[in-house]
Amino acid sequence: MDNVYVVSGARTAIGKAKRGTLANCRPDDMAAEVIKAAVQRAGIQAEQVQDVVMGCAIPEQAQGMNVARIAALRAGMPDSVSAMTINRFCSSGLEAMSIAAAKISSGFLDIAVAGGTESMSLVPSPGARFSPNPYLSEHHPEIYIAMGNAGDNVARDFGFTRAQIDAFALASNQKAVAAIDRGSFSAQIVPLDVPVNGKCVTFAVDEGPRRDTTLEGLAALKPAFAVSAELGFHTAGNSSQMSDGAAALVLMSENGMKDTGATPLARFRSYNVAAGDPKYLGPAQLIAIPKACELAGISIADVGLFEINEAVASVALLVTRELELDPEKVNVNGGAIALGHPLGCTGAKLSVQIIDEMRKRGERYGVVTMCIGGGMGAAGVFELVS
Amino acid sequence: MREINRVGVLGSGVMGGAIAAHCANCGIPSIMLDIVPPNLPEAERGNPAKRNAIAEASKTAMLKAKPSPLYSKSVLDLIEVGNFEDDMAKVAECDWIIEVVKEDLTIKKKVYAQVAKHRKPGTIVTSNTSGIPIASMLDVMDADMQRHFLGTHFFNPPRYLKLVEIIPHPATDPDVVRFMAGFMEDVLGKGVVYAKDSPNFIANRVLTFASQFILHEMTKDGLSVEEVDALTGPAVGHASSATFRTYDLVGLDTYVHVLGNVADNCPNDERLDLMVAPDWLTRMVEKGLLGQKSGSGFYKATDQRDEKGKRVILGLDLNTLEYRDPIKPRFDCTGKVRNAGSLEEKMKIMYTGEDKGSVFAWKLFANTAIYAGNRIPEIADDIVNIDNAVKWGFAWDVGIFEAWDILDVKYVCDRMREEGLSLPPIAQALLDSGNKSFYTERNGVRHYFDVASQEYRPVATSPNLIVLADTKSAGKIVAGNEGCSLVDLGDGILCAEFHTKMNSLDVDIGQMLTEALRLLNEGAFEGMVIANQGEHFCAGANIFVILGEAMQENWKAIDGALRTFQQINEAIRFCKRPIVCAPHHYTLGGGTEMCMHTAKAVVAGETYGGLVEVGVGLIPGGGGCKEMLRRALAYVPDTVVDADPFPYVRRAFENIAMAKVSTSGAEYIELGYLTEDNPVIASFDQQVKRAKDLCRGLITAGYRPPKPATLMALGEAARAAFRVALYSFRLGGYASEHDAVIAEKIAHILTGGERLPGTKMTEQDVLDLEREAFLSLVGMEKTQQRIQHMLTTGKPLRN
Repeated sequence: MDNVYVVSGARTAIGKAKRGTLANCRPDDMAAEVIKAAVQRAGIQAEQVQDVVMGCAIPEQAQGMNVARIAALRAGMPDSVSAMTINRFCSSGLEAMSIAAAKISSGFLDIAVAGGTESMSLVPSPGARFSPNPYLSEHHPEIYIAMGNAGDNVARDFGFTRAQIDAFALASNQKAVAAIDRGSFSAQIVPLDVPVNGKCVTFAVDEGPRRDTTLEGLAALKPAFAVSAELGFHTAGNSSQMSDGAAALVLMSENGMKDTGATPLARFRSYNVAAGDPKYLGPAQLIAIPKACELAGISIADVGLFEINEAVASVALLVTRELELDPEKVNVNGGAIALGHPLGCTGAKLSVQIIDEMRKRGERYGVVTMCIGGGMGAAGVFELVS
Repeated sequence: MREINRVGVLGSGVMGGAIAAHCANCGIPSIMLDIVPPNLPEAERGNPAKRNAIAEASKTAMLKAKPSPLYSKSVLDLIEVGNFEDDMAKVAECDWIIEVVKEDLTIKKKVYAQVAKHRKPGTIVTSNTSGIPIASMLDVMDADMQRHFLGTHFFNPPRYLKLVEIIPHPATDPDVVRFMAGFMEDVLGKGVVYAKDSPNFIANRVLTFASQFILHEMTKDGLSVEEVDALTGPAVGHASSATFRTYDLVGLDTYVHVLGNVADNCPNDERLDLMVAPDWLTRMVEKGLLGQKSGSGFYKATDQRDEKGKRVILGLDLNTLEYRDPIKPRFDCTGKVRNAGSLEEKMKIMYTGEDKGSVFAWKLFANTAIYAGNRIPEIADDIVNIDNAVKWGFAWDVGIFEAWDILDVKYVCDRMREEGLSLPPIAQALLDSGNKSFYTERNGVRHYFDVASQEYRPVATSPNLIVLADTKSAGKIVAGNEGCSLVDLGDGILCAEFHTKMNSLDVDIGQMLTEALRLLNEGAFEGMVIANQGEHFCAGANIFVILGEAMQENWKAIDGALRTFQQINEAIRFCKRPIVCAPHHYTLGGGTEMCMHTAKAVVAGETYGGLVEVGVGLIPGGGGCKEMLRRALAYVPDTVVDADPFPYVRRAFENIAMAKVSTSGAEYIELGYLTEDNPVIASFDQQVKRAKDLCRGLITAGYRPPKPATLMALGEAARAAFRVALYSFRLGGYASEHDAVIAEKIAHILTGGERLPGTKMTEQDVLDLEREAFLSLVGMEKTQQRIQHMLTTGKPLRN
C-alpha cells in the first residue's frame, strides 16, 4: 500500500470529559469542524470528496445515526458526499483511515476524508442500555473487562511497578506541557468557539496536562480500579483521561492529487490489527507493530517516531520494553495520560500529531499504535513525503 | 405569625459552620458571614471570592468533617457565605441572627453594633457564647434589639448533641424566649434547658467542678488518666470519651478558658478553692499538649498496633508530662460492671463498692451532686434543667439527681453526712418533707421535687411529645410480651413498640404484630404506628436464632419463619387501615424491610438504615428485594414509552449488594429505601407523636391500601450486566468470592429469576425468589461463618 497519501490533517484541542470546555459540545459538531478544516487545508472543494469515514467507539445517542454522514452534512458538504461510521473501539480513528486507505489503494475511490470523533462527556462508555451476552457474561466475562482492570492485569502479569508507572506518567505530563509551551500543536488544532457558562470561549489548547504534577503527588493517589495497592497499579494520575475531541485527515490516491493539485504530507504505508486474550490491554500490539512494519517493508529500527497510545501507562511501558524501543522516540510530546484519550478520535488525532512531528524533525518513518478493548492491538505506519 | 425562614450566622468557625449546617439539615437557608481574611494582597482586595474565603472554607470543610454535620451533601446549597464588611446588610433578610464569633466581649460588641445598624425590628438575635454573661453584651443594642436578644448555647457537635441552653436576660421578651425554645425543639430537634445568666451557664458550670475535682483528687489517689476514664465513662452511664478523651477533643486551652470563667467571675462559689488549674495542667498548656488539635494531650496515638490489631495509644504521665505505655485499668468495680445488666445495677456497683475505684467514683459523684444541688437557683431553677443539661450536653445516660434516686436518696444522704459532707438545701428539704426521691410519677406524669415550693411539680412537657414509657405506666398497654408492647396512643391509634435487645425482630414481635393487625382489621383501632423510643428502631432479624436452626439443618423452620415474616410485611402493606413507621438510628435489614411495607414513615434525622443482609451472608428475605424492585420499576410507569428501568434496578442491586447504609434520614430517602414524600424530622423526641398525627391525617384523608403490584422481569440480559459489573468488582478486590455468590442471588431475584424479559410477576413471585435464595445461602458454610462472626464481634466478616 504505497499509493495512499495523507494531504492534510486537523484536530480539535482535547477537552477533559464532564468538567472540561467541550463537555457540552456535540461530537457531530466537533467532527464537522475538523472535516471542514481538513478539506480546506487540503486545498480542495468539499464536493471533490468521495467518501467520509469516521471512527467512533460508542456510536450511539449524540454520536449515533451514522455520525460521519451527520457531521459531513453539518460541515456543509453537499448531499452527494457519502459517509460511514466504523467502530473498532479505541482504534476507530486509525481504523477509519485504514478503510479509506484500502479503498483508495484498491482503486475504489481517489479522495476521502477519514478520522474520528468522541464525546465521552455526552456518551460515556459503555453507552445506554448496556446488555452483555448472558452466556459470555457467565463463562467469559473478560470479554467485557473494564480497561482499568485490563491495564492492572498487564502491570501485574508483565511485571511493572507502581514507581515505573508513575514515572512514566510524570514524563508524559512534562513532555506535553513542554510541547504546548513550544506551540508544537498549534498548527494541528482547529480552534472551536464553544459556549461555556453563557459566554463564547475559543478553545484551542489541550486542557489535560497538569503543570503541577509531581512524583510524590502521583505516588499518593489511590488505585482507581482496585481496593488496594496490592491489586491495583493504575490511578487517576497514570491512566489516560476521559476526553472529548475530534480529528480528520484527507487521504488521496496519486490520481486524486493530480486532479486537485494537492501536495502530500506523508504516505500511509500499512496497517495491522492483531488480537489476543481479552483480559489484557495491549499485548496484541506486540504482534501488530512488527506486522505493520513488515507490510511496509521496514524494520522497527527504521522507525524514528512512535505514538503509543497511553490508555494506561503499563501498556506503553510494555510495548517500549518488549519491542526494545528507544524511549527517546516514544511519545515525544506526551501521550494520553496527559493529553487525553477521546476513544474513537485518538487514532486519527495521533496520526495528525505524528505526521506533523515527522515533518518538523524530518523523520522518515512514524508508527501510531493503539491498544484496543477486547484484547486487540493495532499499528499504522506513515512515511514522510519530502 | 413569627417564623424563621432565614438565619444569619455570624462567625464561621467550627460551631458557626455546624449551626448553619444543622439549620440546612432542617431546611432553613442561612447566610454565614466571617471576617475578610487579614493581610489580603492588594490585588485580591476587590475579589469577592477572596474576601469570603474564610466562610467559604468553613463550608467546604463540612463535606469532609467527621462525623458529618450534614444530613446530605445536597443541603449545603442552603448556606450562602459572605463577609462582615460587605454583607452585614443581609442580616435584614434574616428572622434569626446568631452570633458565633470569638469568645471576646470586645469583638462580640463590635459585631452587635454592626448588626444593630442593619437588623430589622423584631428580628431575634442570640449569642452562642459558652460563658460570657449575656447581660454584658446589651449596651450596644437599642431597646427593641435588647428585647429580642438572648443566649442560645449549642453543644458541639450541634447536629448530634441534643442540648441547647437558653439564657434570657431580664429584659428579654418572654414570648421571644418561648418562641425560640419551641423552634429549637420542634424544628431543630434540640432539647432545651433554661439557664440563668451566670458564668458557664448550667452544663459547663457543673462539668467544670467535676473536672476540677477529678484533676485535684486523682493525683492524691495516684490514679492514671486511663484509670480515671475507666471510672468516669460507660461504667457509670457517661459517654465513652469519659474525662480525658473529652478533654483531648475539646482542647485544653479551651478548657482553661472555661475554668477561668468560673475562677474569675464566681467569687461566692463555695468550691472556689478547687477552681485553680493544677501546676501540671498549666505546664501541659505551656508545652502545647492541647489535645487533638495539637496532636496529643492526655493521650497520644501512635502508628503501632497491639496484638489485637488495635492502635497503641500512649497515656500521659502527670508527674513527668512524658508519654508512657498504656495502662490497663484494673478495678474490682469495673470488672463486676462488665457482667451487670442494667445501668442501675452498674451504678450501684460503681458507687457503693469498697475498692479503690468505687471509692473514687463515689467521691466524685457525691461532691458533684452536692455542688449541683447548691447551684439551685444560681444556675437554674430546678433539678430538671440541671439533669437535662448534663444528659443532653455530655451524652450521659442519667442525670445527677436521677442517679441520686437510683442509688437511693437516704443511702446517699446518710453516707454524705457520715463522710462529713454537708447536704445541699434541696436534699435537706427533700428529707425534711418525708419524701424519698427527687423524681416521682403521678398518673403517668413525671414530677420533680421543687425546692422553692417544697413540693412535687410536673415536669414540663410539650404537646408534641408522646413518651411511650409514660403512656405505658398510665396503663395504656393493650397487649404485650417480652419483645413487644401494643400501646393505645389514644384517638384510635395503636402503637407497636419493640423492646428486644437492639430491637431485633423475633417470634415475640411477630406474635404482637399479628395481634395488632387483627385488632386493626377488626376495627378496634383506626390506624397504627410502628415506633419505639429505644436506642435503635430495629437492628434487623435475630440472626442468633437463624444460625441455630441452620446448624441443626432445620430448613423447614427457617422457611416457616421467613414465610411468616413475609406475610406480616405484606399484611402491613395491604392493611385496610394506615400503618406509619418511625425509623430512627439503626434501622437495618428486617427493620428497613418492615418500614418499606408501611403506608408512610416519619423518618428521624438520625436514621442509619439499609439492607445489610450481605454482611451476614444473606439477602433481604422479608420482602426487601421485592420492595426495592417495586420502587425501582415505579420510576418507569407503563405509560412512559421506551423508558428504561435498568438504572433504577441497578441502584437497588448496588444498595443491597454493597449493604449501603444511610448516614441520616435524608440519605435514607436519597438511597431509595423510602420515597421522597415521607417527612424527615430532626426531633427524635417528637417522632412518635408526629407519626401518630400523620396516621390520623391519613385516616381523615380517606386512606385506602395500595393495589398489589405487577412487577416486570428484566430477565437474563440485565443479570448479565450485573455479572459483568461483579466481575470487575472481583478483579479490583471490592468483592470476595462469597460476596459474588450472594450478589448473583440478588441479581437473580431482581431480574425475575429464569423468567423471560418482560414477563409479569406478582409480589408473591418475587417473595418466593427471595425465600429460595435465602434458604440456599443460609445452608452455606461461608454464610454461617459470617453470622457467627457478627454474633461474636458485632462486625461483618468478608470471607
